[in-house]
Amino acid sequence: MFPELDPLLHSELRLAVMSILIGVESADFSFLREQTGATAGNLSVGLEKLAAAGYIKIEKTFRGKMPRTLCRITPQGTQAFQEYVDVLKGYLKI
Amino acid sequence: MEKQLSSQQSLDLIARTISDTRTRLERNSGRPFLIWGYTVVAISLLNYCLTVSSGLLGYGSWTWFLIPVIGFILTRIFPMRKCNEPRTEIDRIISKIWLVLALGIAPAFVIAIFSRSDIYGIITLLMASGIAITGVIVRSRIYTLFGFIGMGLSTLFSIFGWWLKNFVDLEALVDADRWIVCIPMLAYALVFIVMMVIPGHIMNYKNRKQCSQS
Repeated sequence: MFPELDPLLHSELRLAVMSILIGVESADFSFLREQTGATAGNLSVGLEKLAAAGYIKIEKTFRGKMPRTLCRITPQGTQAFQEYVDVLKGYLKI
Repeated sequence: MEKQLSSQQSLDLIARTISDTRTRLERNSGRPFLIWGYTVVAISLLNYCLTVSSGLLGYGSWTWFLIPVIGFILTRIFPMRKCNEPRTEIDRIISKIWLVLALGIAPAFVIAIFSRSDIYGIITLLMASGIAITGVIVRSRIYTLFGFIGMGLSTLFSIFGWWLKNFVDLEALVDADRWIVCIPMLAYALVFIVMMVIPGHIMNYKNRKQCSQS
């Protein structure tokens, strides 16, 4: 019997965001949008869900006079991502 | 409605996203090598010309300090990343390693002055070690190979110094032959072309090719 996949990560956009954040210190909103190809609205909703679960931390800062939204993965998010990949590997018998 | 993925699609998405992000962030990874490599080459040639034309050995000494100044300015003007692109953990580690090596140049100067040892060889060895370490960490055969080549080439300066001391009568050199003593400056430029400029261009070419394919 396989454990269930984390439903929060089992969506294309949120999984893509977590896959990006797992490899960088932090990423800003525009970079995530460029990399995922998502609309600003969809990405905002996805990020809010991940932040609400404690998987990522969102910081609102400024670069000069421009507002900047920075996202970084939390230790809880890293663990959830690792577990998600482990379950996937179990499913696929890798 | 959120798009749900099969297990295989999820794994493929993770692998693809990680690879795309890495490819994008490595697009200009050769740029710091080009900036610092060309700066060292230009200042070495400038010092060679100044020293040979003035006939005074050591004339160009203070111009060596243009290297960190120009290198730093060029790094700010031509950053490796666009301002919205993130830093990876590997970037952080490598930047700290180079910071430590750059700080190591100061005591290297002091050692060279007091022990009358060869500053070109010591700094080349420091920089070549940085290139080889960078190569090992980012798993780049090009940087690793050229780093080790640079480490090997760093020995040439001492060999030249030994040859000069034992086989050339410095007192007997006429002004027109003084350029012989300045050969290490040319060699220094050549070594930096080999260990920084060439791998920098190769890496940029490879990464751009990879970016255009993905």
